[in-house]
Amino acid sequence: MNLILNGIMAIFWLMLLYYSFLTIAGIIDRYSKQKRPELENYPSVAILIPAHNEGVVMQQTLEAMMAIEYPGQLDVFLLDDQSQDETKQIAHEFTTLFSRIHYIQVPKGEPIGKSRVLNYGLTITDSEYFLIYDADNQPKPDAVTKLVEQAVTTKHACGAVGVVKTINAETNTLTRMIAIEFQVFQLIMQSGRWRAFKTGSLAGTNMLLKRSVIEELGGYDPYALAEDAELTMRVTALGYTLPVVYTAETWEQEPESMKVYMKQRTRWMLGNIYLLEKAFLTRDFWRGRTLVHSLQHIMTYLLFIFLLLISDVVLVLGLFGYAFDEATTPLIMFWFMTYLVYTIQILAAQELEKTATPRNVLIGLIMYFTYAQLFVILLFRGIFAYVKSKIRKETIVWDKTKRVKIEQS
Amino acid sequence: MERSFLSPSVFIVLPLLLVMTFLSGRKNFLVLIAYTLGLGFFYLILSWYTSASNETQLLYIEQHLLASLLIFLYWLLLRHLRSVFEDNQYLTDRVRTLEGYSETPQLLSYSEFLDRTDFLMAGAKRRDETNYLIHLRLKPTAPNKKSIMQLLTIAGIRVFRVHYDVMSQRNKFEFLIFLQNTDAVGANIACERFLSEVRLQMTSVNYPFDVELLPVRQSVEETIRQHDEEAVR
Repeated sequence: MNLILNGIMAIFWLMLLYYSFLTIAGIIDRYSKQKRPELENYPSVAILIPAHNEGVVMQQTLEAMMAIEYPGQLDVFLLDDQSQDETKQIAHEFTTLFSRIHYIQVPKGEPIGKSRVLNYGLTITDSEYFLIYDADNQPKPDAVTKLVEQAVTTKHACGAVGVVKTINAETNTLTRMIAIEFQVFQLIMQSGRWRAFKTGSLAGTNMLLKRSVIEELGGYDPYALAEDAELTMRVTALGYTLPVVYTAETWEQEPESMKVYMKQRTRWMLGNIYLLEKAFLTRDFWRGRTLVHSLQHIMTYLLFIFLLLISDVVLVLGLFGYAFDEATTPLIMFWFMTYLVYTIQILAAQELEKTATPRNVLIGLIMYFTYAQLFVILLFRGIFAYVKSKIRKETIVWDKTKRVKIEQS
Repeated sequence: MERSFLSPSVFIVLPLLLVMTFLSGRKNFLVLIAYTLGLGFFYLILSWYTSASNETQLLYIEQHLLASLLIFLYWLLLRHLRSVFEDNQYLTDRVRTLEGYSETPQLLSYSEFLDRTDFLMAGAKRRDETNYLIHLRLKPTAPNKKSIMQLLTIAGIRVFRVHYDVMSQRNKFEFLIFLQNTDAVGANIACERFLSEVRLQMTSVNYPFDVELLPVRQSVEETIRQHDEEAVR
């Protein structure tokens, strides 16, 4: 019993140290001033927006696309994947007026999903760089310029990654928690990895890539549901880097109901299980900087949830009077440290992002007991759906996140 | 284990409070995080090494929380004091500037535009110079008015000298560019340059707005009013 416990505790040690290290590295990186290089010539950029029934958000998205200021050639391609709502009409109002906006009807095809649509978008464009925005995104006018400047001037860079902010963070407790989670991921994980290992990861949106690199890779994997994470692995395996640009911001909406959230995150979980399987079968994913991503992936989607489960079991048994007195490891201290590291990351991100209001701090303090526990449910949902699809030899279908109308002044 | 008021954290806390007083806000935050995590690891190793009982572990947690809370409160105090001084200085510097500008950078608010054009015209009158106004009015049927206005602003900033010629939005439908020290020919050339910049970003054959070039003799408001009256007649 003690041997098993010590083995588990060794994993605890590893994770606690790694995340503490990333927290410190992330804060140092955020505090160091990012130089803004200027270019003599700005390369051509194509913005690709995959869309399927996005009428609710399309007007605001295209308005934001028109507000982008970029010194070089910039074209926006709305890739409509069989929308049945008013997406086309809204796009038409823009395409008849503005030469920057292009409406593209994507032909029907399999497998359904973002990756296939993006692959199609790449075949009909020829810009030097391409940039992905989700259909609900509203990037800041200078986001594209800043991403391009870093991508062009950073050594071995194949693109650049910006940050994603939550436009509806104030709506309810769930959206606040999602916004906090995003802050932790981007302000601590991303910046910490960039500072410590000079490697960043693609975020699915607000990400710029060099066309020649995606061509070298043979395009997106159409079966990957977490196409950003999957592409990160392959790009890093080729020796490229992805600088993180904190000032290149885009705003997007997050699920406002638990039902929509669980659906979206189950898809993400499925995508990450697919990637875990792929990682275990691909030797290149365990070399150089890619090792950082592979280990991070295992820690986040396997070990973290596994240890969370163990921590819950210990807590419940403790509440029922089982004191673990015979254990040779300090279980209570371990539990405390897990909570501490998790919560410190949240509070640090809030301080860096200047969102540390009393309400947000309170939410941050309870997230370990509430929001983090959802990942246990998600892991089981993900594994169940993944095993089911394997047994039935079915392709897992892309499940679009439902949008809501957000009024803006 | 006996409770002791002299926990190991006391020996770190006091010098740390002193050091924090002299460090910058950013470094202090880093110290706070590193200290909280470091102290946690210290107690964790101590618990492991001494095979601490459950009660002792709880005591360590209590000590950690108290020591961290003390540093946190001190950091909060320093941060608040610094931010009050910095905010005060920053706001004093910015208020005057922000009063003059609207949401779009380099585009004057309409009241500031009128003040600036009055000032420019007074100088022009003394030097016997003429001024012109490019007046753009969106067609009522034009869709996406917000994006069109953004487009006009960006094109204006690219074409005109922002500190010499001034631009503003009169309302949601009218966009104005004041050209100083120019004649009808010069104003026409400037207007054409502006429209060709706008044209680069548009696909529609017809502009979604009407353009007029108006000589400004008295004031901008008076010029537009007279022009509107003539149009009604």
